[in-house]
Amino acid sequence: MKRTDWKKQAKEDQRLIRLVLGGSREAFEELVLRYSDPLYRHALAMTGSPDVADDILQSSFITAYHNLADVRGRFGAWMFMIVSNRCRDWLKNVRRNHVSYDEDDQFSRIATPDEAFAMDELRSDLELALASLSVGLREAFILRHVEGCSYEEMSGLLSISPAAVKMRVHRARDVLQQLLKGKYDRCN
Amino acid sequence: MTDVTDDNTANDDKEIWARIDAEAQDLRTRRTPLYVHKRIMDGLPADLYSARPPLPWYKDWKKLLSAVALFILLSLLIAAGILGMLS
Repeated sequence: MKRTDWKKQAKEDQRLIRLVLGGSREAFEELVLRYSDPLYRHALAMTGSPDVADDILQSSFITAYHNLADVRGRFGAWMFMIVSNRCRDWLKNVRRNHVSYDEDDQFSRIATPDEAFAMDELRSDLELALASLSVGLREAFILRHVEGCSYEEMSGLLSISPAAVKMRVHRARDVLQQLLKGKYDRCN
Repeated sequence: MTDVTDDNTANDDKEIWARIDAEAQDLRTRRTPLYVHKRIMDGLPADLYSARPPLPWYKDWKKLLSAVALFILLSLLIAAGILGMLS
């Protein structure tokens, strides 16, 4: 997105936030409709579970509603921080509790990419391969190649330098390529 | 949208990135289920930012100040009028 578009959108978001703080629930619904899809995709790609993505999105927007008066800067970036932190927390808990998410999280029991491919045929190869990446690499790949963010935007969202963002994206691409090459070769 | 094949990729890897791009495209089409929107809106507290009714004039300090200033001005005018008639 161009910088002028950001500014325009940020201005419109601020207007909606003022309306919400003045008692308009419709204005908050407008914010939900505006931002839910990319946030949902992010939560889904990060966790691999539609149910978990639903819960993360719902709780994130409700938290945002409670703290709306604290928004400084862009609402979208602020919401991304909330959703991203919840995904990271969830992934940490999954690793810690390893066996307690049999239905919601296919990946808690996965040891190798090969096992991952065998366990869930409904999900795309890319989704399964993404689950094998570290959280940082996964996040970088999703933002760049699913959401189409620029390196500059990603730098702002992830609070790291554009050079570090580029490095993560390239590393994610390398790992995915290795994982998927093996998979595709087996399919052909 | 950023194509996953946009960076330096060897020719023999182009096919693999075309497949990855096709799968990334599928991910891009995912939308929030409608019931999630509903759950979010239903989960909001009812009265956190409820619109406040306007304050009555005697509780609104701006209106109260204006009323007092007007009262003092009118009193001064009346007093000046009375003094003028007496003199």
